[in-house]
Amino acid sequence: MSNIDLFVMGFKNLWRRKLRTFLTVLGVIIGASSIIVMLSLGFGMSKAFEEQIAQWGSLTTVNVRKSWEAPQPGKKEMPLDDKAVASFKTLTNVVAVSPTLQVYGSIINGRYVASGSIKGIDPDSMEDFGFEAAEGRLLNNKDTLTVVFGGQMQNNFYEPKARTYREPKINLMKDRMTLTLDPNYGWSTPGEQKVNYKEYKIKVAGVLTEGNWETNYGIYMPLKDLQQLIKEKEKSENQKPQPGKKNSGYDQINVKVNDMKNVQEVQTTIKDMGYEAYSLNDELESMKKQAAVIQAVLGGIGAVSLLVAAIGITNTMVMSIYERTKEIGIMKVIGASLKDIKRLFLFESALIGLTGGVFGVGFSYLISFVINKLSVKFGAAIGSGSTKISIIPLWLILASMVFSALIGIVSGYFPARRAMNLSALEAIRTE
Amino acid sequence: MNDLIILKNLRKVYKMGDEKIIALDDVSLSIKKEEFICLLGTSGSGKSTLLNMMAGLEKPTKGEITIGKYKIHKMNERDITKFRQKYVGFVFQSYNLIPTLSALENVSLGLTFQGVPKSEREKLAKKILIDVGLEKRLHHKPSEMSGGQQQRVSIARAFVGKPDIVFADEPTGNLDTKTTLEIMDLITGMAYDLKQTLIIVTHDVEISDYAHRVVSLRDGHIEKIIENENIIKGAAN
Repeated sequence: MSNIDLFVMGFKNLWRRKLRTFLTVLGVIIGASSIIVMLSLGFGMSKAFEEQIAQWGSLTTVNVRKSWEAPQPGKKEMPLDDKAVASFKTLTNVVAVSPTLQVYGSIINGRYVASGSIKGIDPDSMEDFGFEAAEGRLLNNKDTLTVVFGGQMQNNFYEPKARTYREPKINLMKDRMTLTLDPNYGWSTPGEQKVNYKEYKIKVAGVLTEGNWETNYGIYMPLKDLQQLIKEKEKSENQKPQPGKKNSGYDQINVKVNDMKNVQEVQTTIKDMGYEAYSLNDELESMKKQAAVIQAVLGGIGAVSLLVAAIGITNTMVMSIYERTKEIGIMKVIGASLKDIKRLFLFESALIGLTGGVFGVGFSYLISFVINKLSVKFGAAIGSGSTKISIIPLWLILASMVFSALIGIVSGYFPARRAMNLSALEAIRTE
Repeated sequence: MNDLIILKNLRKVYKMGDEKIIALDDVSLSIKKEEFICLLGTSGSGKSTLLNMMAGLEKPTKGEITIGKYKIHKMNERDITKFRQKYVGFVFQSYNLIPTLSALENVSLGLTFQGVPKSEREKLAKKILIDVGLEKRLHHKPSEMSGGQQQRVSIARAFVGKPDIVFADEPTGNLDTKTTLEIMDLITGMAYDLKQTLIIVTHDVEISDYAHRVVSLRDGHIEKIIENENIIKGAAN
């Protein structure tokens, strides 16, 4: 029996019992769309987590830090020095490595002051780390006493003497500014010894595009520059180099990885080398796990209705076989092979499943659209982001169509076998 | 002529609860190619059981059935269906047409299973339906036709694939006398034209006049075999 004949015959059989076929298909539509919608909520959540974490900082950066705790006995603490930087550069999938130093300081711009971490970085690596200048340019190797501000720096300036906050009237690119590393600038603690910190005139090379929380309020300087400033600060504080503390060490080394999926691997490698490595990937992983659990629960709820639909298909096919017992017998007697009978019934149930899957996908798009529409309104009301809470990826569409057809075949398998094994003689005798 | 069908010591026992019913006991028979055989007997004589076993619809409890080179008693169901598809046509007492299909579709259904393309099987089905005199009923459903017309469709269906053997189980059991003769003329005539072997089961003695040999069955045994001298030839003559 050719496939076309099989298709036509199966289709006619289903068409003959329109209402019953429709109701069975409806069951599959509901089952398929409940799974798709539930899963889409999970994907939406996963995506929302990712976006949220991306606001905290770059997802492709591994931060290597000094250990918080004293090294365990027998283990040597690995210094964060140029040797470490060089060794990280040799790792696969690593795009750039930048050692960083941080020191607390203040920028003074006329009446306005902004305090925060002054970060010393390798100017050559800025581009690789994804820094982009919204105004001006990034740092380069020849810069001295030059800074680049984060995208939100404007809002970081305040007027210490003003009673109420007013929007600072400053121009980051053009105003003259000075920098001090005085940790208590603007504050005077009575009785404390006054230290004379130097104030440096600085040039502003550029302002970064608005990025994540880590860079928005950053003040970036070339590393060598900052090292020099720190030395001078320590000198003015009359600090003597502490014994055992290595001056060549950095606060942190940032390692940029080429792709998010390689972050974990690079991080593990660095940890195996004996360093403390941290990345937002850790957060992302745990949140993704959480999302996966929720998605599995939601999917499970959806799966129940698909299971019910599958039982519906089986029921329909069994009923149909009872009804068509005689017909099956006749077909067998006049030359239908067992395979033909089985294929015919499997095809009919697969067609029910597939039709349900196709319309189920359409239906779930509609539901997803409505959910997202409502959630935007709801989100606007509570001031939350614009992320879609229901996302249907393309592969899910294809997968659910294939899966529904498969469910149909599985549900139809038992009835098809039953039809196949009907005794032809018994079947024809049935009146 | 060679023996086409050879039956050896056939025995069939049905179990009805604890009781055993012997439907056939020690039946041996040879049927030649192109022979018309009539299995005659009252109800319960085992004639239908014998026919069903030859067609592979039932398995013998004991004994051998050989048709051509095929040992039917040893074949599994899948092979028997293939065998039926190739070599066997059926006519039933109750026509057994599929009620949702038209006459044309019923006739071409068997060819569908053989994998004959649509245009060709419709051509063949149409031709044979015209041959049985139903050129005006091609697209009628069985429910829209008389008993005689339905049986003609059934005959067309049995002969359309040009099988080597045609089995007919009480083909005229539901028909009046006039129609019975028409149908018998039709069946034997076509079988004769196509050089087929025809085996008819009946309890009607008149029908036995069409056969080369009449095999009378009684209580599961062959009672007697009569060679027919004055055979009525079918409509072809």
